[in-house]
Amino acid sequence: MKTIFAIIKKNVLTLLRSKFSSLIIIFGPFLLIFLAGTAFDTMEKYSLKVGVFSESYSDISNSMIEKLKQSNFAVEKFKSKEDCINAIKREQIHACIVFPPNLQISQEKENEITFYVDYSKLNLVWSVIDTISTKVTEKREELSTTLTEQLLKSLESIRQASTAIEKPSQATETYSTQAMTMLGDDIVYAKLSTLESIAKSIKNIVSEKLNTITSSAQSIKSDIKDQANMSDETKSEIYDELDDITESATAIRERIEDPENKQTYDIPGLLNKLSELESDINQVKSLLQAQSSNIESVKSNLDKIKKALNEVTITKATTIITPFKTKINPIIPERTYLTYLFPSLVILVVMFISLLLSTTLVMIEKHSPAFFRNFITPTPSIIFLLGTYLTNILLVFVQIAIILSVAALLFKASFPTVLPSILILFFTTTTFTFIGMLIGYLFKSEETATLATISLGSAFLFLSNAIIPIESLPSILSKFSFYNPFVIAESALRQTILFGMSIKTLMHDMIPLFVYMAILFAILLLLHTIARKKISIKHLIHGLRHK
Amino acid sequence: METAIKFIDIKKAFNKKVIFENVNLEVKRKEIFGIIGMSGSGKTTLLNTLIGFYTPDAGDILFYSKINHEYKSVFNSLPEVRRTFGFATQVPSLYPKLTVKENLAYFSTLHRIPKQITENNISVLLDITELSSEKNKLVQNLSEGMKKRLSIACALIHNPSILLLDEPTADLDPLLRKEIWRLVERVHRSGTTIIMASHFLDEIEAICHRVAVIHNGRIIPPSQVSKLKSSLKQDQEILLRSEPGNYHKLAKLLAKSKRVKKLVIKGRHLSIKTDNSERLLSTVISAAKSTKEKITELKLLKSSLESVFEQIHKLK
Repeated sequence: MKTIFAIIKKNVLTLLRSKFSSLIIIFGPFLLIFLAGTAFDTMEKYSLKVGVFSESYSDISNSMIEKLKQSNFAVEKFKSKEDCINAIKREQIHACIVFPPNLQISQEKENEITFYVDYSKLNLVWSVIDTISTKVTEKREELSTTLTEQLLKSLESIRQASTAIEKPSQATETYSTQAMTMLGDDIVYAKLSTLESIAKSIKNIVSEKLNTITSSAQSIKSDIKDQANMSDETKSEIYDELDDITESATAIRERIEDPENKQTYDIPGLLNKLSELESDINQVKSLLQAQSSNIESVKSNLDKIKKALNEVTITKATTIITPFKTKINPIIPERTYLTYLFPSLVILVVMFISLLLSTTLVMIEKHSPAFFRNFITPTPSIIFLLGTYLTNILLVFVQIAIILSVAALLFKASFPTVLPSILILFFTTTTFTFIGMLIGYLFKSEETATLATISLGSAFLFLSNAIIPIESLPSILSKFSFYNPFVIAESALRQTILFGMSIKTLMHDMIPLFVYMAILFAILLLLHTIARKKISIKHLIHGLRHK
Repeated sequence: METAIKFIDIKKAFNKKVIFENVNLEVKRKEIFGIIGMSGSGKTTLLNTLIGFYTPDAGDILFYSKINHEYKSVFNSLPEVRRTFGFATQVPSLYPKLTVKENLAYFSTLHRIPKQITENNISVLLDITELSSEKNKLVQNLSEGMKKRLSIACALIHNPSILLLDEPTADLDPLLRKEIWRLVERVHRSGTTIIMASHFLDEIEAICHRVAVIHNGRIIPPSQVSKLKSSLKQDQEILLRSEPGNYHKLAKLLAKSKRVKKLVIKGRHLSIKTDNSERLLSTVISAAKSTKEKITELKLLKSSLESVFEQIHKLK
């Protein structure tokens, strides 16, 4: 333990006696958190500049522009679409909105509002799209509400009209049914038959009576002929009268039986008319049936319309436009960007400090003229490793303390879960320190080692959520990224600081870190032992060069 | 004298290049043993092998264990080797950002020396290395000589019985070199066995009791080196230039000295061949004074190490 303390003391003194190193160790994190705090201790979106272009601005496009202005956007009108797009390229504006000329809501026109954004600005583009489209959507919803209200009004009118049509159509149907019933009834035909048989019997009776009249006239005539007491003149007069009667009867018969005499005594004609009437009735009946089925169809369609209209239970325009409202509730109290960024920021700082500091410590030690002497002491390799490791832990925790203090004092950041956070930071620092030490032992020159450290740190950063979400990476990289120590540590610290998760809950997620630590320490021990052999060769070469 | 270290048929090669082989040496206890060789001859490798940094490809190195009072293989007893040996490397193995005292305390801790003893050791070593007044100075602010002394102090912090010095005076001016020599002698007086590797022949001659030469992967043992030394001494030369340059008068005077082997006038210089240039130097200066010659240039041309090694090579 005494030896480890001596190594730590030596390392710390070596670092702190270099003014520049001390400045970086103490003021580096201070400056970092101060800048980050000042930049992110807000929830506002500052100075979003939006360019707009339209060949002719309409009331709708102007009102959208007005809405953007009201939301603190700096809106600039451009003379052409190209100018507007070029302004994004020159970073004068963040987005360009091109409105169709004379933007109006009409059936013929398809209105397309085009957004132009710079996707190369990964960290800004989604924020710009989201913010602007939210404002445009608000206006779009306003317009949609108006249109839907009109539509609903029309539907209501249809509903009322269909209800109004329902009664007459029902009456028509009733009448039609009644007519059908009446026409379809045998009484009409029976009446027609009765009428026909009456006509026939009238005809027969009349014929019979006429025959009777004729025969009676003949018999009267013969009776009279035999009558002697009657003068011939009388007889002749009677005969004339009887002849007139016979003639009249004959004339009546002829008239009754004559088909050409239609107007007065046309019984056959009457019968024919009756047949025609029956046929007409049948036609009327079929027309009534057709009418009835039409009415039926109208009724059915009306029912459908009514049913369809009845199915439109939501008749509020705003409800139709936004059938459900989405409310985004933060699972933690809404604070500033610094609060959300803080875990990532701390892990980022810890990663780079641990990597660089441990690499630097190993390189300083390796290139120190005293390195050789360490190896000819009875102190085992593991003690040197632990000494370097603990020095790193100590310095990183000093820096973390500075960061947390500045964050707490200047930016009122709160850390509800101190102990789990410290444990996570300890495991993270350990992992990155071991990685940094490994780089230090693997590389020969300080420059290449530093370059390797920065490259590795950057790789860890790129394969994390810090720039783009891991989920949006190609699947292989995405899977690989979940084993990225930066991702593991950042996720664990975020869950602890923001959601107050216990270390026990997070232990499972942190297993890869423990595996890394164990493997790295074993490799380091091996390398340090090998270095004990290597150093003598270097020492020899170094000695020879100086001769 | 008891033998402290035994090299037995040691061979070391890197990537099939043999650095040295068939090394058979014995270092006596409490002696100052010199290993001399040209740059790249394998001196440092030999020292590194001695402290167990390198495993030899063949042979063994034994050291006398004060704990068990027996000879043990260096390679089987590394923890004891690290307690027994102290090593001052050519480039001082120090932390520039730590003070003199902090460096000593740090290495003492690595050797697991109790605090009380550490305090005492630091005090003694600061006295020996004459760094007491600099104890709170950062190493980066020390002179090269001070760094070398501190490096030796660090090598001695755990009271080793054997001290290895790898080129202790390399990159130092003559004054600082002599400071180190004095320090080595002081350390030796405390009973420490010292093995010193150097490419300075004069340094080795001045300090070491016995010297081995390493050349072309071979070790010339101390016995052979002694013979060689005497034969090479003949080649020493003093080159003098003076005003008004009446060298005949001066040569006549110098010819009386037994140490002068040959006198030749070479243009504006007088060449004096001797077997001991350092001792003759005072005679030359006083002779110039008496003949009223004002010395404008005086060069001591000893046999170069290169030529020594060439001779050794020829001898082999």
